Amino acid sequence: MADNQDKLKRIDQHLRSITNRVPDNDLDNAASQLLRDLKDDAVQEGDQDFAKQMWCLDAVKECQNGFIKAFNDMKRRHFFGAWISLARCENILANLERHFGLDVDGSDAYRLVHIAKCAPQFQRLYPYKQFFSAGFIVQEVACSICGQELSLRDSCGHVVGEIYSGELCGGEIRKADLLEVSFVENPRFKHAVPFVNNSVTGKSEDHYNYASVHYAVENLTSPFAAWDLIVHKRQRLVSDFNYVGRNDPCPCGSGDKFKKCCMRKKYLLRQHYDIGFPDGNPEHLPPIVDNAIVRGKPRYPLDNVGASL
Amino acid sequence: MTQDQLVQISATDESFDYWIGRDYVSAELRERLSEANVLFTPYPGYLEYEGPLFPIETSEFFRYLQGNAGDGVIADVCIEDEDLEYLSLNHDVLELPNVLVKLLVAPMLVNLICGYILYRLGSRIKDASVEQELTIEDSRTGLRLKTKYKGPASKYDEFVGSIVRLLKDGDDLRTLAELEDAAHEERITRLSERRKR
Ligand SMILES: [Zn+2]
Ligand SMILES: [Zn+2]
Repeated sequence: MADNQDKLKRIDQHLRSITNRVPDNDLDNAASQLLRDLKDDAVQEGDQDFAKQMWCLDAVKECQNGFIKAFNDMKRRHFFGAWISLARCENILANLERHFGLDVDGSDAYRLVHIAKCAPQFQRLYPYKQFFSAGFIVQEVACSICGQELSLRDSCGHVVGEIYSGELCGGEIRKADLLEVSFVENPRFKHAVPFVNNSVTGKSEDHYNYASVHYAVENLTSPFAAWDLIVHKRQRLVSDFNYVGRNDPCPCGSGDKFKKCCMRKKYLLRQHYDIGFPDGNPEHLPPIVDNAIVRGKPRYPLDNVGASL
Repeated sequence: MTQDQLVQISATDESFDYWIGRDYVSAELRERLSEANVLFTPYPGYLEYEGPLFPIETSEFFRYLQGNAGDGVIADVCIEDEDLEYLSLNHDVLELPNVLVKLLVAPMLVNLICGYILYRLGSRIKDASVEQELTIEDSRTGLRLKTKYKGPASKYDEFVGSIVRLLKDGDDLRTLAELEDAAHEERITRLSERRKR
């Protein structure tokens, strides 16, 4: 038991020492191994509560690592990869909130409260507005714990979303028919981002403008630096957007083509992002970058982001 | 969408007998379902697919009711286990199954639904959406009303709950028009109370 206490202490220290974490390095992998060992022992001894606690601590680490990876990916302009990591963090946080709580000691030592605030802020800065939505008729769902088919009146006893022997119970779809594919603005699975196909190469390419995400992340020194985001709409003259092509997305953010949306109007309402950097140096208010990161496209001014300290 | 459009109310003929008498309900199941005062009813289909369908959320919600409902609530699902098929869409809306409920237990059911919404969404409740049709049958007056809710998860009780409570307290409400009048008055009273504060 004393041995276990010592291991737990080492894990807690690892989860707190988040600013110099390198996901998946030797130290980090050693913590994963410790967690696995403790969980296996608990399961063997039938200690469900302890096994569940180990699941939670592992989820904390995964969420922290996912957020760090997302931040590093955004810095390297791997925006779609970062998007997937952020969505993953969001899912883990929802489970942790139910089983563990986000602020275990009142000081946000594991920084989960920070991640819960900032991951959605990054997501809001992303240019993805429409997502694929696949409609399925699901005929068979199985319990991920015991493999038995989920049945309404004759249940295996496991409840989806609960933790058994240190594993999260989920429904596994075994048999389903695809009925339709359409677009939605608020997807449950956020990975379904549509990309355009290059007519010459035949390959799909990333045509999105990530200027506002890039702007925010460029001005943050670490994933755990504080920042705020306020989004509101500002009225703008449509003539300000004469650089936007007829077939480009409308600056109002509807996701429709400019010519089919606001092109013929006098004014349009444009999303405006006010980003606050409370830890910033007042003498060095970050300059607004004036170019967008779009390959093979004209450089659009980043005119809808403001910064404050 | 304005606040008033979050919930639509209409009269309906779809009674307990109507659902229990569907051709996909066997004689054996029919006997079981006739005991229920909370009945999950299917969508009639989706796009070209014709056949009873339930939202993917159904089994989790059903299990929650079984675990948390008090003695008075008898919940069941209007389908054989082996015929159960779910509709799964990629949108972030908590889609609860449509429910037909007897007025007597409707206030209890609304409390359970609110409890479930909180259990499922946690702090996401502040920006998540809920969609559901709840049909309330008043055996005293024969009035049967369908409420169709699509809106913020946090406002489910304010809108659907207040209709259920109006019905429960008002045994003089016999038509949809009377309910709409009462709901209108109730809203005006609440608004003026808010202004006074
Ligand atoms: Zn099971
Ligand atoms: Zn527009």
